[in-house]
Amino acid sequence: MLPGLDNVANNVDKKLKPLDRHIAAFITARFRENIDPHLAALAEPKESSFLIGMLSLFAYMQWKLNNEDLYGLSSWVGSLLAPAINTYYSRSTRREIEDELPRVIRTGRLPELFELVDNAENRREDTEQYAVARFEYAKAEDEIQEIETGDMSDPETTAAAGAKVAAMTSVVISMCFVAVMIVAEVW
Amino acid sequence: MARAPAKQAPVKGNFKKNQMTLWLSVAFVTVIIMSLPTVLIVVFGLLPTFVAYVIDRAKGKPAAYCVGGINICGVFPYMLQLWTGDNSMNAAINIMTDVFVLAVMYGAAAFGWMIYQSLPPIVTTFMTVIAQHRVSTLRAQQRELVDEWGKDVSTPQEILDLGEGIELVDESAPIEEPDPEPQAAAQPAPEPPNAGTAETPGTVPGEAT
Repeated sequence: MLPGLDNVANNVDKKLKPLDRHIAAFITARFRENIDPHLAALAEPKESSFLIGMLSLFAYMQWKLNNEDLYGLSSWVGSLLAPAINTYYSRSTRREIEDELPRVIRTGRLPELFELVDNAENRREDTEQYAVARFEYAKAEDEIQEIETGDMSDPETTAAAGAKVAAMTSVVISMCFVAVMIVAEVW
Repeated sequence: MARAPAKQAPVKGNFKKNQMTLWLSVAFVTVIIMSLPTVLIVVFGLLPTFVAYVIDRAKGKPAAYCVGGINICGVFPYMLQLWTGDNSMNAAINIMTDVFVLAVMYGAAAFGWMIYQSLPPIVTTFMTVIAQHRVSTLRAQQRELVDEWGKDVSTPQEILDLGEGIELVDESAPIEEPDPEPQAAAQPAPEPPNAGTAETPGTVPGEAT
């Protein structure tokens, strides 16, 4: 199955998907492994879930069947993976994956491609860091609102603070002056 | 019956207050008798301060402190002159009748008033500049976060919870709008397979099942 798709990969429109319901049914009928999770992913309405499910199914098949490297199919599937890559929140992670993608495609190994696109650790980190980023954004927004609408923006408050500073300055000058005068007199 | 103790308390307080006032008055009179020249200089030299105290309606009387602090700087050298030299009424009167001395004392007070007038706007401007700088720093941080994480990062959690399932448009996504729930989207997909070989097989989707 996979070598067949690999053979036709160079002669088809790369915008088409290498997996449709007929091929999925064929694989389900012939492939004697439990692929229910893959099929569930394929049934997802989201494009990204379908692509990840398709890639995981092909990767599993290639690994399980010890197929040789599938350069054409890797290239074909790889060219369709942009929506799956875009499920990462982090722009830099997306760029890293996109930069790495051509190299992995050239290996012809679909498991490696799947590992690159849907690494569980990367996903977890991405989600956690996204939550942190959202928290930081909200915190910054709160602080900005506090500055713009809080006491700092009230002219009376700032004027009162300025008057206090002036009073303190005056008292400090006075104390220093008196101390210096006394010291000068005693010396 | 219940009101009796309540009435007694203020009486006690008043008595204490009156007692304190009495002792202070005695001490004040003693000081005046013992150092009348100093009192004379203080009373006349610090007149601007007393005026500032009376006219200052701001909380904490900052004008009085400001004028008083510098006014003392003008008065103190002559008090010191009195204490270290001839501490008599004649000497005090001589000092207070010197125009130059009065100019120094009241000039110092004027300088204090000038500080009170000029410093608050400077402080206000300084605080405003600091606040604006802080705001621009925070805005820059927010821009960096948006650049890295997309516009959704600025959406509060409550709104995201309300709009669960609604995909928000992400302009920076090259092909398709970003999935607001990548984990959820990936959940149906099985565990990622390791890029293992036949010798070192990794975890492969469906392997466990």
